Amino acid sequence: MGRSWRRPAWAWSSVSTDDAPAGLGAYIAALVARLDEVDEGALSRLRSVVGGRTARIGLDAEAVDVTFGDGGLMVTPSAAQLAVDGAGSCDRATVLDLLDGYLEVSDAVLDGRLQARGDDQAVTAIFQAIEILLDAAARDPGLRALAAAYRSERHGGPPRARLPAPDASRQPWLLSESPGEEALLAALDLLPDAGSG
Amino acid sequence: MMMFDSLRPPGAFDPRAAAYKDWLHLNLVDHRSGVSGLVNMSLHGPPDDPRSQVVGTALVRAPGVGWAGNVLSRAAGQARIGASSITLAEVAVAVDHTSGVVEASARLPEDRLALRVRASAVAPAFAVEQPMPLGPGWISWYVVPRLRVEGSLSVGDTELDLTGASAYHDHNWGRWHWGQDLGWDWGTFLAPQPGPAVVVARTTDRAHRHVGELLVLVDHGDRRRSFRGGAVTLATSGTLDAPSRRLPGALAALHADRAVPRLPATVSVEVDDGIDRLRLDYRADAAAQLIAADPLRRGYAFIHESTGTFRCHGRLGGAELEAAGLGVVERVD
Repeated sequence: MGRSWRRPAWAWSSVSTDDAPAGLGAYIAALVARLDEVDEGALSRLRSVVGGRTARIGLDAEAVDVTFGDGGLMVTPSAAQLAVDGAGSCDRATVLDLLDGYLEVSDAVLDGRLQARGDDQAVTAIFQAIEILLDAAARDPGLRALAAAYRSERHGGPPRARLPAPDASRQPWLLSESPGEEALLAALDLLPDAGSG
Repeated sequence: MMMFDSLRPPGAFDPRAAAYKDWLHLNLVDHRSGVSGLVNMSLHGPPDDPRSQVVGTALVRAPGVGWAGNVLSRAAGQARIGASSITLAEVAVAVDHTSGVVEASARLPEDRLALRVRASAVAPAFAVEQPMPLGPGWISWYVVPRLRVEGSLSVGDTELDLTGASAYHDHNWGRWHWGQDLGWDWGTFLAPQPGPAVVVARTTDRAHRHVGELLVLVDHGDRRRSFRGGAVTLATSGTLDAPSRRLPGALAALHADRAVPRLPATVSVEVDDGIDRLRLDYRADAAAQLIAADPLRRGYAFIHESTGTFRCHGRLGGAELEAAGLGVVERVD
């Protein structure tokens, strides 16, 4: 089966990038271990959302299979012959554009830069799991340090190959509400402060 | 011209220390190029709590380039914090009240932004030391409506000498948790000197349906006027339809439902106390959304910064006034 990760050997509470996790599997294991350390409730929700499913997570050329077993998180190098419930993949440039606020998740999906496959429940579980991690990271410097370590050029792979485009040339998929919707909200007095005060 | 001021960390027995917030803020507008920018260093949570954060923001809107810069969220222990300075390696703001100078710098090469600014106060400071209610908490405010700028800015492939640009500085501190039922409207409008500087502010609830008293400050040469209550009206109209940069990216991904914020396209402010009067019309042309996460309890707030142009006219201190310039309007919910 190859190498598997359960809990990382490092305590990820400092911000040093010198001992950053090496590889996608180690990163996922470190994220979940840190979540276990700082927010048990969030880890419990994560396990509940994921259930007994196995997800295949891909980043650039690397892919791992992730599942929760009796012993906790299991992360193994992806085995093509193993059937999984859902799969999500993207590349480093997409991750950096998301982290730096140059790309919306919806645009990444609709542009094909972020791919998720599986039945609706499996795909929803993948995104919910990511949201739980992002929410916990807002209150934990250690989780944010993991993102910073990934972002660092020394350990996270090659630097971003291109700079983001000026926002004037970027048209998001989600546009403003239609005039009809605006008029309806105004008629129902549901706009925040359309008048004077 | 500045009064003494400093960061206001909670005392040892402050029962509301967990809700501590404090920041140093500088807005820049370059009248020649149309560039608008902000540098903000903020502290969230008590100094002795390892979950507390320092957030450094350097964000510039340049015509033809868009928004450049980013928001850095770090453990508070990573910042160097002085009596009136907050410094990260990439972004910093420091205030010297003795000389009336605010210095700001940002080095964000991956985000196409570098700036170094020395801003000297040319208008007296205005302090609201008495805490103002803000949701279940409170906020206090120290503002310098106009500063003269020296410095340089590199945004995208453009290098700018900021001599002649205008700046605004404030220091806010208080006790609240992001995500509580609170918000505010604020704006700074700077015409090139010797034109006026106008500041508008009010606290609100999160939905902006219940609003506090509106304060309007007008500085023009050696004349300063402040207007409140019934002497002031503020009206908004339209919806700004412009792509919005949302930061930090991780929190934007978490709040995809807020990707299209409903922001006003125009803001009009009218003041008339029977002696002095002013009408100001602002039109927004771009917006950014900064997402604030509380470090100690689950909660988020959305700080929308729009940039645009304004015109104003009126009568102040017996003299007619007519001016145009650049403005920044902030809406928090």
